[in-house]
Amino acid sequence: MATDITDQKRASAGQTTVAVVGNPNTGKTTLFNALTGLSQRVGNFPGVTVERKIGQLTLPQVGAVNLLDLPGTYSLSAQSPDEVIAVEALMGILEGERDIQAVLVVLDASNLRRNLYIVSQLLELDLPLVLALNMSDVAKARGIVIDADALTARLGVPVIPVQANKRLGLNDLKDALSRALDKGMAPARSGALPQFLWAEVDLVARKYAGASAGLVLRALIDDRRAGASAVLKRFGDGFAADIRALRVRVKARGTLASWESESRYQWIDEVLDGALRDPEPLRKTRSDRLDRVLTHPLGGILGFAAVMALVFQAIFFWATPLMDGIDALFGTLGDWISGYLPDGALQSMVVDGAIAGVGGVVIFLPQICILFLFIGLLEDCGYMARAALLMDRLLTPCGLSGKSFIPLLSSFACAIPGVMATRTIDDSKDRIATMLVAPLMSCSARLPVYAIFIGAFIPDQTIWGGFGLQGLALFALYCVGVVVAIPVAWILKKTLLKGQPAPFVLEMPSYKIPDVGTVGMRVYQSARHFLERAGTLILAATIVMWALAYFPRSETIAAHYEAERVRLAGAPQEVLADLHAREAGAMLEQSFLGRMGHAIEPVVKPLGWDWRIGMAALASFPAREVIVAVLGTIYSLGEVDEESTSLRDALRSATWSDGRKVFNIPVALSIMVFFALCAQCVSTLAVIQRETGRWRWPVLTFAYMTLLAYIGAFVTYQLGVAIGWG
Amino acid sequence: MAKTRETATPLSGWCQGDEGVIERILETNHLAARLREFGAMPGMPVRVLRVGCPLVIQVGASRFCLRKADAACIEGKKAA
Repeated sequence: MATDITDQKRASAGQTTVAVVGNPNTGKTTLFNALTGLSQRVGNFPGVTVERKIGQLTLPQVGAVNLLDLPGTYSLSAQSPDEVIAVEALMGILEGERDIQAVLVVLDASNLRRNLYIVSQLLELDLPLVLALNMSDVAKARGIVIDADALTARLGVPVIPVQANKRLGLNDLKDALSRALDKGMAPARSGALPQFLWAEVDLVARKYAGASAGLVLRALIDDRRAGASAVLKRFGDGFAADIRALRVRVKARGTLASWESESRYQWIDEVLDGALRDPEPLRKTRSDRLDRVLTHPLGGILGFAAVMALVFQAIFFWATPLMDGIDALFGTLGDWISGYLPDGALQSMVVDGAIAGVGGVVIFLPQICILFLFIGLLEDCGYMARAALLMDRLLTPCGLSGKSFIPLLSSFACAIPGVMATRTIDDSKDRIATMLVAPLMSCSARLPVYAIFIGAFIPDQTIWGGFGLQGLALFALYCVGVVVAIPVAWILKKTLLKGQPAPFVLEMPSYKIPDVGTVGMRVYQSARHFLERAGTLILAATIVMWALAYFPRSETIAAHYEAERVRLAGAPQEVLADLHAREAGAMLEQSFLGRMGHAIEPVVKPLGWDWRIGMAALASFPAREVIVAVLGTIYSLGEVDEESTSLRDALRSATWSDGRKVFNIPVALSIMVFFALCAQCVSTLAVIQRETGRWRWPVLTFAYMTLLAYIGAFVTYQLGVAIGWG
Repeated sequence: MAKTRETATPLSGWCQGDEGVIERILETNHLAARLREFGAMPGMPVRVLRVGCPLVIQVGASRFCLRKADAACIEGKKAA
């Protein structure tokens, strides 16, 4: 019989979910990683792109359970989109999310008083809790003594000391979780808030299906905060009216919010009395001494510039050998597959479309990994908060806050993680403004475009005693996006997203040695996410673009070149290859894409472009890196890459119908400026749509960026010609 | 805590390294709620770690930055 029960439990264990919550910077992610290892899966919460991490954990007696990592939050009073998700999941009102059976709360032992704030709220949610007292070593080193047994007795929930970074105390934690799930009993309410309030709250909660007392309390207290607004919307007008009436009944004693926090801290001080000994509450730490340098108005900025220089150096130079390797790999794969497929549409689609297209995107994987390695290191050691602090001063004049810094930094690798990183910004106007300018940061997909045109047209000279002209051109192109982003953000915050710069409060966590596992997991997950995207959306876009460039096939052209081939039978290999390339070029010119190129030529002529460049730019709207492949096909070269000297030579020698050279320095600069500013990335626009839930923002992003790109390219070309570079 | 001076002044006017006790938080914007969650409550010991904008203050074991204008809504009594 006993085995039967265990088996039944095992069978149903797949449905058991334990949520992991805690303040930011408590080592929550490190503990989550330590408990679940590589079993975790990263997805999105339904309908939103807040990252949803779930992992498997095997507990004694209970068996396998799911561990759900919720975004860090200081309280259940939610403001940022991140926090709203965490709170809605805990309240059981997050659509499509499974029910939570227990909560594992991660606490920073060196800052226990503040960490107990959310515990006092979680004790009111009617869920079994287990508290993990993390960083107990740090607390000990500071002379802080915590009586975990006394806390367990007073709170009515198990308090387990752990050290997540050293994997200590995990078995005790699993035992406690197991017992909590086995009993399935929620602890008694904390007693931080008075009985009469709960009586009123319970009365409302009972009227609405799916509304718990905890939820009604948040709707009552949080008034205009984002989390409460979402709750009010969900339960309808009757609920909102009941909450308003309730507010009138209980509001006798000042603002509810300040009253709540005072009551809770009073309760916390009672709980901690005698259970926490902190000899020096306002301690000076090593981090404080480091910060005297790292956040110094001058020294801090210099240090920040040095860190950024290192990051960009790494992204652009360390990644090169790896990128060459990936490029070669896809080239070999294409050749190998060509050998197995018959000539014709299928081979062309697989090799020129799918493999070349996806390969052109996967090549950026090393850069993405290096960027996320640095972001992970800087975040885990605590420096990112300081960088945001220093950047706030520069971002406020644009109407943004220091919180926009990390999303914008990420956008230099790829705007998609950049847009997703905006979910930590609590002010929705700041968040949208940041999203809208994020695609202006020069992402890694622009690099091959710059590389090929700079290589072909900017002389390889040094000026001003040692600065390479080509390097300076590259640097200038990176600056174009940043310089344009400043007025764009400023105008957005003055017009459509009118509002003061949002208040900016950011915790400065203690510096620590980064945890290898946590940083490694972050790099691994971003790499995986990127590859998944390349395998789905980019693949589809590439195939559509291939089809537009391939169809319709012209019988006349095919017959003409077939006749030529027969005539030249036995000619040297180069002659045949050249013939083949010219056939491809002729086919392209009358393809759907080629016809579009001719149609838009009058529009792109003021930019100094011919129909081929116009067509290549048009083909690059789904993903800008496509231009390299398209130019290769257009200039009848077959397979090329941005390192290819033959493509550079072909670009240099291309002529207009009257024999003038198509490309000169102004044309090359005008193309690069266009690519620096244009919104040529369907995925970014799709992510902006998903994040904001509205079509108007991606449409606006596309419109303003394309317009700016056109104006920028026009001005660049005309200025270049006027100066006489043409 | 050491002896405190008579009147409470906004933290925005304090110098680097100044210590004291929070006297009150003005309910001006929704920042007040966030500050309270961080433990910035009347009676808590406070120290200014960085001046300028944003400034960094320490309340108990928490350290956080906020803009000068927002720090003006926290008033404290400086230790003598």
